[in-house]
Amino acid sequence: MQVLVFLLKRLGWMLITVWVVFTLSFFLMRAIPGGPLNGERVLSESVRAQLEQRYNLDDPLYVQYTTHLWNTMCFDFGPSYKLQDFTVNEVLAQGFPVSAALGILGMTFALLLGMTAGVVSAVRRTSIYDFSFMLLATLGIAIPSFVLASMAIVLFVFYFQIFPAAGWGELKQIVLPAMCLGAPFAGYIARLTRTGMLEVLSNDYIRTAYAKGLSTRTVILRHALRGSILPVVSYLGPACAGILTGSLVLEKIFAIPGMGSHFIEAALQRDFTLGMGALLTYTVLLYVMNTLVDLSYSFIDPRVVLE
Amino acid sequence: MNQTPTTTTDEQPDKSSKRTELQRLAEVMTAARTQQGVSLWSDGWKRLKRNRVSMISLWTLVVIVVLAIVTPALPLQSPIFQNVKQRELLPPEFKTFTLGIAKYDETLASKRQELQAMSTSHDLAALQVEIEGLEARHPINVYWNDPNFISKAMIEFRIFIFGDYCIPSICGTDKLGRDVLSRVCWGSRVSLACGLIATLVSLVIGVSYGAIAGYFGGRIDNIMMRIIDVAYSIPFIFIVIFIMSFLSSPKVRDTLHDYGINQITVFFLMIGAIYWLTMARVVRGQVLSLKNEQFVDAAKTIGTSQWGIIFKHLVPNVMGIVIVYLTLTIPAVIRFEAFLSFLGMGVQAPDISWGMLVNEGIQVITPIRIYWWMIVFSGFALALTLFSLNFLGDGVRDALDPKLKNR
Repeated sequence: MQVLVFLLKRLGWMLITVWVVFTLSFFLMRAIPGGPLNGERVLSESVRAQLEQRYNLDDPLYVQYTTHLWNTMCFDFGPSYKLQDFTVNEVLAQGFPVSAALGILGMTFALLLGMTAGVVSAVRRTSIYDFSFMLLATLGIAIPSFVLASMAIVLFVFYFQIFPAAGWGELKQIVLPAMCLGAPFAGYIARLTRTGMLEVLSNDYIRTAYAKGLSTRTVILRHALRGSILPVVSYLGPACAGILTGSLVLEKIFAIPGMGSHFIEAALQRDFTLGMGALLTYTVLLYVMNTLVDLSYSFIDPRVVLE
Repeated sequence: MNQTPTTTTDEQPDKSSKRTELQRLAEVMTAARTQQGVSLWSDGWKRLKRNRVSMISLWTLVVIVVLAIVTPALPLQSPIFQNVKQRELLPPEFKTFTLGIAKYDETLASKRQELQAMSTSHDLAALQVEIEGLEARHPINVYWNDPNFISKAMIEFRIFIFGDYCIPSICGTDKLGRDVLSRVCWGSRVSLACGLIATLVSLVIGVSYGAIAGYFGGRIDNIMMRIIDVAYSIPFIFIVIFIMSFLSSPKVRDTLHDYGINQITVFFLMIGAIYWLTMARVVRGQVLSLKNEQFVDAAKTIGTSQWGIIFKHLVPNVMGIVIVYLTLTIPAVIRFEAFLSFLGMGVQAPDISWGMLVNEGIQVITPIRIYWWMIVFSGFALALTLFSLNFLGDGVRDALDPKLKNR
């Protein structure tokens, strides 16, 4: 019951957020002189008039706003301005699974690597492992993913020729972008896990577990890890946002046909409808992720009250 | 002082004790005047100095910033002059390179002399035109992108000191034959300036917003915090990308230029305007707990206005935690600027930024030849700056706010 109320409340706030994003970007876009048809090419008057009619740009502003809002509420983002014969929905449906696969792989990589590194450095505190893992983590956090990706391309694609440079479809092509995407988050997760682990390891129940004669491995994996995972879970919300933005650049660098590259293309080409569709999808995605994280937080730690 | 003079016999010792008491008080007063307490800042600085990694980062940053500031006065090659035919994508080399300004000045001077010696009016006009043309195409105007008066003075200083000498292209040249070292140095100016200006903007907005919400409390606070809650879940990065791409269309750029607004300024302001949310929350929390302190009541009693209390008494008291968050905001902003410029939506040519340089490096990657110097140097500069900022930020946080340690 409590969960249901929580979800309903969140749904309400999500609708408000989406509406704010929609209104904000709609009017910002319209406030810019020339409008969305203002491209490099100069259009003749008749062509412009026809285009405006096709995209309802000849209506007064409030009519445009209400029709567009209504269509959006029915999940119809309209035709793309620049990709002929494609509706925005089709483009998004094509790009979304690709981006999702990349994001999930990157996140998995970040979690696996980050948590392992974090646990090892907490258990072997002030050892050479601890020092080098934490140095690597700060490196991963500091270096932007596109710098990492470009260096990785130079090294692993052209110098050692292990991975293909770009494209999508094979497993081999996914490895490099997913690793570059996950690297900064692996760094954060490693640091969070280490801190959480250090706090937990000084608790009495860990000493009890050792006193019972359990092996170190069991104590760490069964008893300590669960307590130290909380900061990592609460970081997953911002991490999802970061993964989404990170995939923008990585999709561009590795020529992956995901939602990010469509969005960049839409922004560069001033494709208003496609950009708006992608923007709203991102908003909803982020909100859902954050809600899920809050929800899972209360499952892991029963003391947390949902509100 | 506590002794009550009940009997007359006690008078003598009482008097002396009074004097000693007075003496003691006087000593306390002078001590209070001469001795200085350990302030938050000096304490924090002491703790920061003990952190070796942070100090190394601090000095690295100082070097980077100083280099960025004096870039125009360094004997670098032109960051924008293109020489595609002879210098396209040269690997790092140590051949000296000259600007050729002295030679140019010589020709100009000789022409001028010729002009003075001239008598016939027909040739005079032609020569005058030639000289004007030469002056307009003077290397200073061609080699540097419209420098402001400070940079121009520094460039002139550099020409005065070093003459035509340039550091050779030890970092190679790019696709249009421009020196990478020089571009990295000039790019640092934009990247660092962006970090600074945008952070200041976010600081001003965040601190004022948070302080006002915290101080007034009640319904105002509620509404203002609700707005922040909604703003938190807006993916601003995507909105900014969208807006920047619209702003970079030639028509819009010209319109902006007519209003005297530089595109780069809009860009800085916009980045600043989206990074204030966390700052506002933190400041609000601090102000909420501070506003019931006695010094606020004291300020109220002497008739300080509400704004005076907020900005004169409360804001200075939250500066410690604000600095901690600033050290986290600066690298985030620099990274974001690089990110946008990398996507081609931030700083536009002929301005240079690190993100843009990395992007240029990525674009010339081919399977046939690896132009590694196009990526490595700009990427390294960016990574080094962010790395030191992160380490310094961690150090400052530990020094100023020990409670947050290891978070």
